[in-house]
Amino acid sequence: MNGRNITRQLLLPAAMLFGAAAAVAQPQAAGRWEGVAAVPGAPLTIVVDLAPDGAGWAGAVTLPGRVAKGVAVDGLRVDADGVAFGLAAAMRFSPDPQPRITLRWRTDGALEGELMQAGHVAPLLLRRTGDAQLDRAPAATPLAPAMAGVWRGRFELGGYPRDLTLTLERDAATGAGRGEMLIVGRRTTKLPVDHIVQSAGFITLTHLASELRIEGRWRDGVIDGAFVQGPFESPLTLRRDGGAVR
Amino acid sequence: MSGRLAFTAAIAAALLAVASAQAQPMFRGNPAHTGVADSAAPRQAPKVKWRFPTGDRVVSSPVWHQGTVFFGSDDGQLYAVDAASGRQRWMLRTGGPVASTPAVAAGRVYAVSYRGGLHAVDAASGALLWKFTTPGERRFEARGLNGQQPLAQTFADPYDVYLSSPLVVQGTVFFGSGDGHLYAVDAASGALRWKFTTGDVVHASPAYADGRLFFGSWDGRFYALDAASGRELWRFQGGVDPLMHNQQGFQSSPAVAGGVVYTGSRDSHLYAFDAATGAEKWRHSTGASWVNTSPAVEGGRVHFATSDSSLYHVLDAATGQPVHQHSTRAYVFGSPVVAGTVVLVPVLNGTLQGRDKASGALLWEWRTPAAVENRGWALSADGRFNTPMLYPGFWRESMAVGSHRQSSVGSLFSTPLVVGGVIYVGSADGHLYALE
Repeated sequence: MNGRNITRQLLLPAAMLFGAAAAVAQPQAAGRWEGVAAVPGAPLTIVVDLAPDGAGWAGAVTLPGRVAKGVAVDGLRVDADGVAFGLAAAMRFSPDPQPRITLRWRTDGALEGELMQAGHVAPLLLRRTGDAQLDRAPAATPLAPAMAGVWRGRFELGGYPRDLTLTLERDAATGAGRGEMLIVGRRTTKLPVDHIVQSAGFITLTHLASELRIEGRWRDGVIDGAFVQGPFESPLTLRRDGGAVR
Repeated sequence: MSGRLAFTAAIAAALLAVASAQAQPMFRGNPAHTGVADSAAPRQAPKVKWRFPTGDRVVSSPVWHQGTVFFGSDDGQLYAVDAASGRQRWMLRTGGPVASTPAVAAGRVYAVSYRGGLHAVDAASGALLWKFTTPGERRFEARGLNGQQPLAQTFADPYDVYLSSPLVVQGTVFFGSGDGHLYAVDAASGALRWKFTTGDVVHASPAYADGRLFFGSWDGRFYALDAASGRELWRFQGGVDPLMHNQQGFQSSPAVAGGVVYTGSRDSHLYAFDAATGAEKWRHSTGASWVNTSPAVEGGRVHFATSDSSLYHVLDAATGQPVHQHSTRAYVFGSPVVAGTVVLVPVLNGTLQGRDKASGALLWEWRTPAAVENRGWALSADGRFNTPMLYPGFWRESMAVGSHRQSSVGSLFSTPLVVGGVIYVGSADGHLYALE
């Protein structure tokens, strides 16, 4: 056995022990973490909630005074080295590179690292202040069989009429719904409906990326409500047209 | 060259500089507002020669007359500063932000103030000679402006930055007003000659050529008037935006060259009209980006820049076909100036860009100290506006707060003046800078 092998034999178990200790440390990631990023001239308060979610983790960030409360983080990584995640939704319209927080465990249990945003880097120290208070978006619900089919209606926005055709489909096995909005006005826009929440009398159909949605009361082949686009909300009544699509 | 010849040449050059500098007494340099300086700007990055502090941001553009630089400040004063030393000669309190560019004619300085009205001041002493009072200034406003909420609320536009700059031609001062009028006032006495009514705020500055006045209004129309009588000659209806009132109105001031009027619009176009008939010769779309800059026209090319798309455009003046375009990285409201082989582009990120006139390539950049400091990361590391660090949302006064934070980097709303190779420009950091 040469010296190199001896070193390898000694170091390998040590590394395994260290890894095991770090893995044990991971559960402490669960909780609410608070700190201030040292942005020059405008310190930025950051609140992060982390909680186990199935086999992985879920996280949300709150930036007080910055109109970001419990906004889901992206690319969340929690491991023995630390925690890292993106804040694209919490800091919308950020110039590239997209905002990201990278933190490493400290021996005192705090998380230390940096906020990277718009090409800048600011030091950040987060300390655990309590249990996680994760805001979870309402889960999608099954679509009632009676909703599947083609719906038509007209709304007005900015003085111009727009014809809307909504096509909904229902998975027979799971009941999950999906669909498409076709909006024909001065231009034609086609968007998927990728999030549906339906209760006994109310339905919300959303295109998540644009946050554009149709919402309203439904009964007897009529959805009576509104088309919502950002700050604009236009009355909209949709009526069933033809047979159901399965 | 002998010493005597060199001395003579130096004197001649100095006289020429003074003579040419006398042709920079108003916004955009001349009544046609072509935006062409008589003096060349440096092709190398300039340094600060001096800076003159005021009490608020300087969106006014400096003008030059006989060794004195005149400009206004949002602190409510009209200033006269020695061009060589940067020392104050006099200041006049107007009672409201002087967010427009003064004009000098026949030994008098004319300036418009937010207090409402036109001031005539002795250029040498700063003594007030007369005031012409209007019913009062105001910014463009609309319900749910730019998507601000609540939608039912009327908001004043924080990006309606400028007041109309006076134009002096043949003994008459012309200027627009927040009361919706374009006024013609006798330059000697301050007596009203005529006024023309538009449908909304007039903050564009009128241009003049061949007996005609040209200007746009926040009512979305562009007008041509007979300068002598105020009679309407023709009008053009620009874009309308009943939803957000975002893509409408004329903030840009026109330029006239070769019988063609060029103007930008908030409806995201640059237009070219036949000056005599109003016939549209061509239009250039910028997508959905305001054209608030006043175009510069020189050598068969039109130079202008945009807001959100942050592009410096050069078009063929005859056809409107693009020659080239370059990123400015941030919004441009101040106007490009053609100065020799250089085009100066003032940017709201606190940067003055010197660009090669032929190619548009960036030659140099000068940044205000506030832009260098970049408190609160108002700018990204590469100089773009950092939206999430600026706007606290879409409700109530958020847009005003955001625009204020943008200005914190010393935004250059001011259009540069070039005299004798020295560049003068105002900054939202409250200073007038002399760069050489």
